[in-house]
Amino acid sequence: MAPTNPESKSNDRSTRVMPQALVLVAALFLVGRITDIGFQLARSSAPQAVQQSIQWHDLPELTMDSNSFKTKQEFVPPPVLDVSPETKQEIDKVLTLSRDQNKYVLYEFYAPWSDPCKKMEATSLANEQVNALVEQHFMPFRVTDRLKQLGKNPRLVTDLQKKYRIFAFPTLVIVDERGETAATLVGNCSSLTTYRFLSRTIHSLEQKSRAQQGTRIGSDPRSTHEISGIVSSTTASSNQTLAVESPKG
Amino acid sequence: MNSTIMKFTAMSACLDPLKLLYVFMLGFVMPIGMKVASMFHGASDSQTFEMLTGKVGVAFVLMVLCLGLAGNSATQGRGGEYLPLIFTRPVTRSEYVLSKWLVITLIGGTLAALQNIIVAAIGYSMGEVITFSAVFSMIVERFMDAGLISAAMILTMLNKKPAFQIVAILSFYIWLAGQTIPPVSVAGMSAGGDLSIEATKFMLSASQYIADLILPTVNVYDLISTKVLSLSPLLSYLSAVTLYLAFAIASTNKREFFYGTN
Repeated sequence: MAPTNPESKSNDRSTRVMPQALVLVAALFLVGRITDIGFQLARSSAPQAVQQSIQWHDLPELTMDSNSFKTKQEFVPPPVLDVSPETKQEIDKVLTLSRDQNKYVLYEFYAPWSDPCKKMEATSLANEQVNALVEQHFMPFRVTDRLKQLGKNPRLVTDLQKKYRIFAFPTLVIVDERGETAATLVGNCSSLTTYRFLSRTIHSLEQKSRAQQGTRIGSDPRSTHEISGIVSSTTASSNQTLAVESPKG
Repeated sequence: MNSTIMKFTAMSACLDPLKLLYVFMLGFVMPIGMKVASMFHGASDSQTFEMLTGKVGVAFVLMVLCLGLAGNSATQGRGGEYLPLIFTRPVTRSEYVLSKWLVITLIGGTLAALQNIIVAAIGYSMGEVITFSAVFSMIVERFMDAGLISAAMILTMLNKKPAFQIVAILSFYIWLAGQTIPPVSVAGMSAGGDLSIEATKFMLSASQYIADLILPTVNVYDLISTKVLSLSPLLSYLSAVTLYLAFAIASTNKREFFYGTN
């Protein structure tokens, strides 16, 4: 009989051995994931209230203007930036209100039937740090689309959607002090992306504001002291929030 | 884990000038250039920027780092691949797969995290509001992305069955298509809307469903700032990583290697 080599045991080990621990853990996680998907499906079939962290307020609503809605066949695309005088008035009101609060206007174009909207409401817009940023720097308005439910939208909603070129829900639009688009975020983005979007836009708007103030200093006979007072007041913050809701029924 | 395999994988990834150039251009020059430009001109960052600084950026970097991973040549490039050399010695296949995965994850995650830190630092230095928890989340997310994507790529490259590779590459492209636009509902449509819009919606929904299935996302920022911990995203993530690694080892076990392999 040949003598047993003490190293032969380790050399006999197959190089194709499957790590048992990895296989076991993978199987456990897979079972857990399938169970979780089952639970989620069961939960999604039951009606659930969407968690809301931002308190939305109402603005005076504009009435449904049936003349502004046409059937699909006779639809003629109007100029993109053309808004009705009533809408212009509402936008001006919103801008004045936000200026008084020293905040920027943030529109959320929302559809109650849209799953991405509901998910964003429950995740990114419910995130504490995103909320803190919104409360500190923005006056948030929700523009609710009723097209799917009622067949048509109020004129204010249609005009705002046209003005800010909304093609999908949810869309966040931040506007500058003239009411023009400063930045747009389309879709149900993660909390981090939403946070970074808000943060970047605040910086961008403040930069623009500073540049405008600098131009005014160059051409305006007023003192530097007065101008710096304006800058500091535009960057102050408060906590009021508002929302645009379309008429019900 | 096998230290020699880890060392040579790191050399293969870090000493190849072409790989380095690609990673430098796509991972750093483009996103940092876009960030600086957006900061100076007061513009909002584009979706391309979001992609390059997120999971897609990690995938692009790892695509190059994983090149040659399953090659048979013993003389492929600097610190190149050496599968016949390894597998004709008593080194277990699992050691090879796990060592490769760990090193590629660390290199890919480090590069992507570094890029995110530079971008955040540029923003911060120019007045952008950014918190420590946001930066921390970005770093953890990049390492987690690297872990998942490198496991998927290792599996794709080690499994030599053509049908599997075609399905895997198609799934990758579908996932990529889903990343170009976040989940949305198309506006301006009443019931039974336009066919092209319906088709687009279907394509987006399908790609997002596939993305959730094959490369699930964990939003670390939500996890660390929420009061109620949800384990679902973590479970999906861990399940995908462990499954890919187990299948990668099983696929390597099935292959035959010898010195004359071409």
